[in-house]
Amino acid sequence: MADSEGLIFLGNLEEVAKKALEFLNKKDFVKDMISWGVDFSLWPVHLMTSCCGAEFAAAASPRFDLERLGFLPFGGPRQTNLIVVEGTTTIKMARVVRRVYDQMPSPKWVIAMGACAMDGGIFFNSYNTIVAREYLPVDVYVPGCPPRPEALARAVLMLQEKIKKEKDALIGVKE
Amino acid sequence: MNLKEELSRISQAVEIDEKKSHYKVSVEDPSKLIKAAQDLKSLGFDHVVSVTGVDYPDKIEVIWHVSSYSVEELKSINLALSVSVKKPEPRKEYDPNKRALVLKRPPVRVPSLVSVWPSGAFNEREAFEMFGIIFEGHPDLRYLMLPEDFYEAWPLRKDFQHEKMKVFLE
Amino acid sequence: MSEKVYNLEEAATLSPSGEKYIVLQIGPSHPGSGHMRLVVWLDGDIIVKVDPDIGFVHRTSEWLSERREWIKAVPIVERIMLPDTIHANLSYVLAVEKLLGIEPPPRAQYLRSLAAEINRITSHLYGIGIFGIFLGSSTVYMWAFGDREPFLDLMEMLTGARITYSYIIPGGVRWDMPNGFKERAETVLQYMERRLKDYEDIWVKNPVVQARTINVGVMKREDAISLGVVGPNLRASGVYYDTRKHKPYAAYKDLDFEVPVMKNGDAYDRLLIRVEEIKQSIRMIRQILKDIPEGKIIADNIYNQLNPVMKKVYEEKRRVMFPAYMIHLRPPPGEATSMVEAGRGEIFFYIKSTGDKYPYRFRWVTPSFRNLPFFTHVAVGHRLADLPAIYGSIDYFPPEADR
Repeated sequence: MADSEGLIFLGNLEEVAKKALEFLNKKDFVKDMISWGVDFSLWPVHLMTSCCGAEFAAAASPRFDLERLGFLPFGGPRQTNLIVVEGTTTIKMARVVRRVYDQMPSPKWVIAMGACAMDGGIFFNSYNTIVAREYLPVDVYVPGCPPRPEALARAVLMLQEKIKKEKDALIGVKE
Repeated sequence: MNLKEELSRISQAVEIDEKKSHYKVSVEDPSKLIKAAQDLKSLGFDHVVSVTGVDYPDKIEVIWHVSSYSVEELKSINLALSVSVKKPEPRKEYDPNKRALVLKRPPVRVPSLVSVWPSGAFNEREAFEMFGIIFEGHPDLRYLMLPEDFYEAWPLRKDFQHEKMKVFLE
Repeated sequence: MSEKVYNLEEAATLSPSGEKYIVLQIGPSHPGSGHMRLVVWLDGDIIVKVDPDIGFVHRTSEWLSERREWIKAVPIVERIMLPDTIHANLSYVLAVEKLLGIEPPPRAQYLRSLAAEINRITSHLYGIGIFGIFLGSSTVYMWAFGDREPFLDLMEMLTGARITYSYIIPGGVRWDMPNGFKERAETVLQYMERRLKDYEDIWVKNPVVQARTINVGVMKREDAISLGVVGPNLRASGVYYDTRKHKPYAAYKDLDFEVPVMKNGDAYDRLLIRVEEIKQSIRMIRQILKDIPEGKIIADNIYNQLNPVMKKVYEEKRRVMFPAYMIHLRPPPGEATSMVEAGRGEIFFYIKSTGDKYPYRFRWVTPSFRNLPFFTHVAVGHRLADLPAIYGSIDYFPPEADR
């Protein structure tokens, strides 16, 4: 690779494109642009797991309006990159959530909303509930029972900070 | 209509406390349950509010709470129709999946009242999965809420235990 | 409605593999399903059978409440009915009060009714907004959820919390009406009355909405009675029954209000009746604010249990600090039932006490659970595109049904 550095027009087109991508990915301004694009396009999948969904809906409504942060609930998991676990998940629901998460393209993030998603909350010790970290890699936890919509907005801002810091991780993710 | 008289014609065991709005008709023999339900329906109690079990050490009490939408006098009344059935003894059985002896708690059997009150269908399915009450004659007796992990677990019986429970309670 | 009529007996005998029919699974990850799965058998695009697969949010509230102290069941039942918490709270407390034999003072009764009516408006607005999403109208969702906020602010002013209030305790309520509440409430009510006209223009009288809902999902009067559906859905089918009138609780005996009843029982009537009920609730809130009597907000035998510091706080701030003995509440043995008309219908509680620290049996049935027959009986024979209209119109909230 050492002697062909800089000679990106050698070889066939496929290889050239790959090399061009590698070259560009190392540049800081490209990384900045990608992370800027991603953190204002956090589209959560429209999957309600529990009662915090009521506050999730309020967060998407006019007063709190998380769409100004690029937070737009979307129907199909293939077009989304964020999953919000809203409150308690039962065993029956956890299988669905995991399946939806597996269908989402990388890079993807998880927000665990509410005390129940953190540690069981008020439904701790029940025979049918399970906490989010047991089946998903959680990025941001939001405390509260239920958290106010402002708290969810704060979580989105925190997630944006996190994406900006980890901009190297955005590139070259293969699934 | 004198409700007390009408009710005592259906069963001997009638409790009425108008101040606390407590009305209860107990039927001793499960085979007479359908007859009692039909009599109550002809009085005007036309829908089921709730079907539930109560687990006692030796028996299970099944209660239908019924009320009326069509008869003006009965709209304020919420009547309980109850029947008690003896629980069979739990026995230990070999479970090939767990490779151990597990405690089997056999279900109890009562006649279903869906033929009289169709509104109880979902309620009876719930009571079946929670208490292990088999409603004989129910057209579609399946698990309603619990996933298949809870096969014959009967979670609302008092002797139900699960692993997480040791952490915090009892 | 299609011309070909399918009867339920035929539908019940179909094989689950669906040799003749297409089996479609809607949900639980679907914008038009919520937290549940609808298994739909289709002939072409005509629904032959619907099997609601619920339990995705079954959070075992009955099991948990039987293993908690009596008062700790209040937050649990609130979380189950999140858009409508005060009614769950109220109906549980009514059952406990029946066991304890306490009667709250008149001012507390009025405050309970006030909180309940404000909550009914927020619950109906929530239902209208979700119905809007189901029919593809984001505008109405945005409007209804935006207009819900001033009422939530009112409740925050009254109780100190946005959604989960835990406002009602055995014997009374926890906070008195704050200063300036009446003026604030009047502003909000006037705003809502203005907005209701807008709703009628853009939503209720909208020809698209009418085309999609009139004569869709018709529940006949006899069916509504025999299937035992509840709440606004029952009254839309022409049954005059309201728990507030027929089994009165709180201050509803003294209030003057009408129970709106419709005739056709289709999805459009179920929408109209919610708008009418909002108007009645506004009327009731005005009455309560005018007629509310002065006096204590907690029953005497609870007040006597307060320690001197708490009594001082009560006199100065009109606030009941939570008495510690509530945690050791042991109602005498017996059983009690209670019924409350919540936003979506009737909540039923059956509680059995053996005089112990915990309830022996804790049973409750929520309105959405009793509205399940809408899927199995009413949707049959319609086209698949009508299913969201039926689902949205009954204001079904799955966490509430699963408990």
